[in-house]
Amino acid sequence: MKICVCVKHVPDPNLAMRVDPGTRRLIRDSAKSILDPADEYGLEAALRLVEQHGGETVAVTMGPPAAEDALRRAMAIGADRSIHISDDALAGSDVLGTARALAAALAAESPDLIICSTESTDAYSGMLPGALAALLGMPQVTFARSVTIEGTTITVQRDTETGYQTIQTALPALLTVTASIAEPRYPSFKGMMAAKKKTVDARDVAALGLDAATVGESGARERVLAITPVSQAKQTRTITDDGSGESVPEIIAFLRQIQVI
Amino acid sequence: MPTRQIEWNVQTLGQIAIYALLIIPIGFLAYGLARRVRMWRIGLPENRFDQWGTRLRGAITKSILHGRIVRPRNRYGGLMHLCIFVGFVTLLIGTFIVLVEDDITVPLFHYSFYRGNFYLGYKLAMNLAGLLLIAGVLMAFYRRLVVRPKQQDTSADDLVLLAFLAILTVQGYVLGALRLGVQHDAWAGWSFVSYALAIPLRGLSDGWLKALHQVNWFSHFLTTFAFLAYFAYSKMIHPFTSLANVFFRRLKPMGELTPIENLEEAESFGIAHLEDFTWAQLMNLDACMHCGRCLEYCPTFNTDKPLRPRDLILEIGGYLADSGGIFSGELGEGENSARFRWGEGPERELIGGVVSTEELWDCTTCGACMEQCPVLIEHVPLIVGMRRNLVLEQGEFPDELTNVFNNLERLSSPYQFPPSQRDSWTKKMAQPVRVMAEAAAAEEEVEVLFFVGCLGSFDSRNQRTTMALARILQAAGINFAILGKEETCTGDPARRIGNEYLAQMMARQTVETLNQYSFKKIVTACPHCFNAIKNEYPQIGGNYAVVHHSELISQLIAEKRITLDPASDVASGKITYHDPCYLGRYNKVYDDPRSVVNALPGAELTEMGRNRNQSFCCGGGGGRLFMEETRGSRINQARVTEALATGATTLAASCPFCMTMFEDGINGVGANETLQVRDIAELVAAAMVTTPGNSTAPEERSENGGTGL
Repeated sequence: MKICVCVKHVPDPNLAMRVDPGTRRLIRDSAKSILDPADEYGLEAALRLVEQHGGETVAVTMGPPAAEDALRRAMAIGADRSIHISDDALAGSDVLGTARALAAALAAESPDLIICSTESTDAYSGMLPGALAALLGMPQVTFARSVTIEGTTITVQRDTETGYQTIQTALPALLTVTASIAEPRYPSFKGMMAAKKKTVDARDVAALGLDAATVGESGARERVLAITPVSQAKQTRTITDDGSGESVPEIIAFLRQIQVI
Repeated sequence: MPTRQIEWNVQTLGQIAIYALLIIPIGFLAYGLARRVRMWRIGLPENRFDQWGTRLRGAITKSILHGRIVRPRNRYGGLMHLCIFVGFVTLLIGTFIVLVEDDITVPLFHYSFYRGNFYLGYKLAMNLAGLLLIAGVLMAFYRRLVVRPKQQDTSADDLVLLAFLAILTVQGYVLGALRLGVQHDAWAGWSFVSYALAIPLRGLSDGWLKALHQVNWFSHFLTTFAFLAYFAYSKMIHPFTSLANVFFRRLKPMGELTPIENLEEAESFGIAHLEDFTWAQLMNLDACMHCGRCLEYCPTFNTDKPLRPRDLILEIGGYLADSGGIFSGELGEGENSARFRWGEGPERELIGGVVSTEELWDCTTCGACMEQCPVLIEHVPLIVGMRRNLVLEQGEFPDELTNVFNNLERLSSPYQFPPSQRDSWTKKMAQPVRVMAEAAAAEEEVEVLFFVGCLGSFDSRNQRTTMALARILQAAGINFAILGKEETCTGDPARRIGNEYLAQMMARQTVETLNQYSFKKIVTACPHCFNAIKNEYPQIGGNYAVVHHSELISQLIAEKRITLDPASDVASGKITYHDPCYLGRYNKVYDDPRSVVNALPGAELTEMGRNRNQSFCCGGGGGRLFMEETRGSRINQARVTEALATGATTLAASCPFCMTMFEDGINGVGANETLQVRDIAELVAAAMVTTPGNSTAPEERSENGGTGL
């Protein structure tokens, strides 16, 4: 079984993100960028499936040269090899352009399963997996909280607002996963050292056979018109308890109200 | 002239037979010792061959003169050992004296010294020594069979050895008595025990006495031979192994862990096989004689967790012995309890087979076992060594640590706060706090660098200590600055968790930052930062004068650079002080924090039963602060309960890890009304006479609730 996991090199979400007012793009400081924590869940799910069924896990990303860090991290965690799509012509791609490049690379791999995070931690568009599935002509199952594979059938529990749906489809398929799928592992140092020796296959626009006019800035049909900061409304509610626990029902009612529990 | 005929009543044939037979037990002893040394040699090299003078002095004062054995709160066991030791060694020397007279000086030089006053003194000494030995053995039996302290497990080996000692001594006395029964020496009173034993034998005929003497003589020698043969296959080997262990002890500071050199080039990490130990660590395993002192102040043993430092050592010792030969006398659970075995032990993995991962993760690295061990076994480096393998090689560790590692890697702190918030506490200060980078840019001199540490920077409770210390420094007019946003974790938690990679990364980062600036000394309120900077940074070119805030505050009070308001009631009443492991045991700072507490107006310092070097850990060291405590009872609650028992209303702390553990522990036992925990800096700052403009905005104005984990 071959599982491709789409990953992204994103600015560390714990640090303040800044937007260039001129280009209206996120300022990406590669020194403070990491493998998107959201991708670790999909990677973990892939690693567990491969541990169970055999095969290989391939991490795939599109991004500038520094994005290789994200691939090294994914390989330190356990991916067997990776593919790095990088080309100046791809700079400024919108979702569709990105999906075209990724789809071309993924199609060449003909994986049994593609796993994406629900959305990236920097841009949060959440549209890429759908676009990929459409371009590759694969069924897409979103918000997976658990996954089992038998032969060429994949059974997915899909998180919904009120519970979960169980969905079955045939492989190859594309999956987006939520944080409840598996607790991601932390790479061992041995893994980090081994990752230095694993393969990163470079792909550019020509190698992928893409028409440069359909990707990058020139092919982008989305335009960022304005960036406006959100005023961080502090909605704090204090419930004081004198130690008797009398306020517990009130707390539970509040948590229910905001649908946390 | 007083003397006796050596080997009286024994035929020459018997004498020859005994000498011939002697080869057998000596062979056993020599093989047993050689086998141990051969096993140590499979370990990695480590230089323990320097400073011979210091090593020899230590071996004499710590072991032979019992400096490490007779210690406060270990008096019973210490004196018991001293009795057995003096008795046994005297009798052994006495035996050699007879040997020298009978087999060397008389036959070779026709010179006899075993007579006259020497002989009388010898007899007196030997009779006294026997009594000492028996007294020690009785004390041991009493403790093992009647008192049964919970830290002492008794195996057959322990009883067999005590029985050997008792039987050998009694046989010696009886031999003397039987001979005196026949020979009636005029000076028999010098052998006062044998003389007394001879009195009831007076009715027996010479023939009977001689026959009994012969039986006793041979059985005495055979018992001795059995004892000698058994020696090297039991804990009785300890005079050799323990003395070697004390002599070849590690002479570095206790708080310094040995780093993994050239981490990037290493092929395996930490300890997973016997070959991964250093030879000195393997010798450690064989030095243990099961006394159980390591358990007395051990936080995991005393809260019913699987880790018992003694058993850990014995289990790995048994594993070492698995490679073959006669083996006996180890304690342990199930598969690991190996007593009297011939040949190879079962095939097992070290981690997971011999030692469970639970044992390894439960350790708080408090060092109570090492501080207590009479033969200087170093448990903590072994545990950290195996943790290194789990983390670096296997990627196996408690789930809670994943976030800690990610945070350290990305944010240079175990907490999930951005570095930009490191100095957020300074905004709550009435007087500004200078930042090193700004001071350097303005070419201002800085005398003291206040290293705040991650807990003091990000944890809202410990920020109060940080602000209190800053206020004290300001009140004393000390020219100080902080690193602010540039500060990074010292690497202590990562190193002790076993993530040597992150530890080295953090340490290098911190040293790099520190080396950019000039200052005279570092002060920190965190014993973990203090220990890392003081003992581990010299490894990577970071040499600084560093003091713990207790030392600095104690000095400021003594020099009257800060004045405490006599009317202050901040700590009036009973107050007890908890020794943080990394300040006390690891760095021997016991008096300064106490003098600070004593200087508080109206404070009455009352000690907990376990204090100073025999303090009881809060449960937060060795990265435990960041892990769930799932086994046994709570360590912090055990310590809080002990503090409550003193009747104190204030528990004085001087470590942010302890602070966090005790706040939680006080909540846990529901003692919020009766006991408050305060850092000594908070107490001093609150009692300080403040000059106008030196007050702080309300400390309750905390913006970072929680710990961010």
